[in-house]
Amino acid sequence: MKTSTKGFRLPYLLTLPITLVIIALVIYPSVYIFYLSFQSSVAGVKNLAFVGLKNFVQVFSSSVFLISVKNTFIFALGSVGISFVLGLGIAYLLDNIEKGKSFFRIGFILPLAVAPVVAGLTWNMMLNPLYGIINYLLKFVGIEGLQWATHTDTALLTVMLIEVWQWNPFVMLIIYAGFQVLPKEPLEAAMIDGASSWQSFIYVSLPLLKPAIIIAVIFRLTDAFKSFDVIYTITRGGPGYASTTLVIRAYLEAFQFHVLEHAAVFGIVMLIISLIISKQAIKFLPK
Amino acid sequence: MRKHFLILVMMVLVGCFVFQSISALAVPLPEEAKINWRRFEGQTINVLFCRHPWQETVEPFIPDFEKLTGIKVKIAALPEKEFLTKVPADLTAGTFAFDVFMTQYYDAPQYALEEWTAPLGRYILDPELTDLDWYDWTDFFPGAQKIATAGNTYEDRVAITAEVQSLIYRKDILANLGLTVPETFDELLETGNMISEQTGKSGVVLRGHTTLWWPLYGVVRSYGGDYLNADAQPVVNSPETVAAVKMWSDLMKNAPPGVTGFCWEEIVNATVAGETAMFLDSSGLYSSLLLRGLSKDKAGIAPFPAGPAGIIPHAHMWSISISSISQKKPLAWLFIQWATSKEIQFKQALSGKTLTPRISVLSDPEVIAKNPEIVYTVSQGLKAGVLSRPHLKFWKLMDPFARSLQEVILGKKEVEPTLDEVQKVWENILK
Repeated sequence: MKTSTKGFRLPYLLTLPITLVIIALVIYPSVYIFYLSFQSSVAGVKNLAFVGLKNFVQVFSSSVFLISVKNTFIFALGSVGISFVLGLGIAYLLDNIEKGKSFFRIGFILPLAVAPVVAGLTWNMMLNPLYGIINYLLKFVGIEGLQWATHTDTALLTVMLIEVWQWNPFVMLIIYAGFQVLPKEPLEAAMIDGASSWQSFIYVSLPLLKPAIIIAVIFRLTDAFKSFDVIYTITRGGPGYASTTLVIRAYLEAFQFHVLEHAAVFGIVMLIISLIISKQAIKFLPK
Repeated sequence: MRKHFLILVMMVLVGCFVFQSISALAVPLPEEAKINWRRFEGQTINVLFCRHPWQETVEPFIPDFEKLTGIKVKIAALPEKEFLTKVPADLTAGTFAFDVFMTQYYDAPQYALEEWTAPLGRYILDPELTDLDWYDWTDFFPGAQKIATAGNTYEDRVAITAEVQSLIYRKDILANLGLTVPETFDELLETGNMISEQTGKSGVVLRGHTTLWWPLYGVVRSYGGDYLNADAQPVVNSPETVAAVKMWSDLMKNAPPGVTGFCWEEIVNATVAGETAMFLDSSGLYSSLLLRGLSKDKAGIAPFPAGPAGIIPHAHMWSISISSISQKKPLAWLFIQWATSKEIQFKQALSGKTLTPRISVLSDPEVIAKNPEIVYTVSQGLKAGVLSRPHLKFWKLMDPFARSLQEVILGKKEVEPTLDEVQKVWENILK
């Protein structure tokens, strides 16, 4: 009886340290954010007062909120979509080239090694409309005056492309790994049946790559929804609200405007979006 | 105005030779203060600075303070963006580990509400800690004295810098085109347009970044407008403010491409590179031009242009405060008293990198001789200069204002409807 009790308690004891860490670093902050979202800090953070749903009403009725939600979805879906197409294409090419495979593989992975803040600052310099090298080079092919991150028409697209540059290698790596473990028999059978390279790729390789693609897309999508560094270092959500996303707005509410309760509401919205995506994504994961 | 300026400079230079030795003697030394500097000998205080010419110029003298008091000073300095994020975050969390730190007056209502800063009155009025005759509070410019209670708060800060919005320009570009320094906004626009047309570069620029509200405030006040009235109610769509923003918008048509990303650093870089000829911003940026290698032959500074309501530039002063959770407040006050004393502020001003808010320092012949143009401009500017009205929701108000005006710069919105829209947003925020 004693042994069985000991055996029953041991797993709990072993998981206790990590459980405490999770409570301290995940559960407590999440609960506190929910608590904060129903409070008002008008009389100071030390004198919070319960205000019911007032913060939610204020945030949801502001035009900035709707713009932030729209921009977040455009940014996340757009950058992941482009990353997927590019990643798949590059992985396919890498899998099929004969010479210089290692060289190109390392070359394509390099952006992953750059810290997002450094990437943001570097791209910011290169895209500077006045001194940047990109506009300087574009001038030679007759394109002039692009304002990139400093114009409302192009700011969101610019930060999306930088996000793609930084994280496309991640998608490419996972899909490339998927190519390495593809069974040869179905491809050989398709070839014997007279399928073209394109048909083999679309009807044989792609379905077989589905697990790798789903994992890459899910990881990137959850990450892109909360992407912060690149947007903050390059545009801070501007100009205007052109590149303001939920996470950027949450940061500004908390650390620039000192309205912690509004930041909490933005945080909760992001949490709900992440939960919905994760729940849907789990359905597609290989059983 | 230029004639007056030249006469003043001549008088000052002559006076400088005569009074140079006297002025050096006239600055009261810490040893002359009737307080026991060594009362807290052997103890340590932690000081947090924001990276700034004031911090750069005070740090070399801190060993003198340690020698004078026997107090050890541990210093940390952070870049501005990091500083402005870390300080409120740590203060909110209650983990702020510094006794003394730099503050900005816009935040005064927030800091007072949260009681993050200690009231200084009891230390200033304690004869054991302060020699009021030696410290001479009335020597601070009136605007600098007001900083102590900015936003109708308790006295929790002492001004350390004297910055005022000025016209900073490239002397060589104006001279090459035979242009004179503009004295009114209409002249500024005309001169800016001429430079842009004739050189293909930017004739004049102001910030287009989300901090654009800072230099715009001087324009608005010079046109008789304001952001908030004395009762803290928004008046951002008043006819005067609309006229000022229209002028600002016309001036910004001369700005270089990408101006919505231009904070003061970008403007300084563009001016040094000759991409822009004139800008309206803090007088401190004149020193930044010199520090980046532009010679005094090419860098010029002049008083703020006049608008229909007169010359009313925006003033700015960094300040220094004591953390309310500091266990060493008396020591911290000794440090502040020493750092803002006539002697230290005089030495800092002599470095030519920063100007300090004491009348005696800015009227000292030696300080004037070192940098006559900037001292004249700042002295004049501080007489008429105004501080924007601090408010608990200051940053929340400035954000939609600045972002909407960025769209005006890009030609996406018109001035008048935009300011009407901002007025409604502000009324909603202040409900």
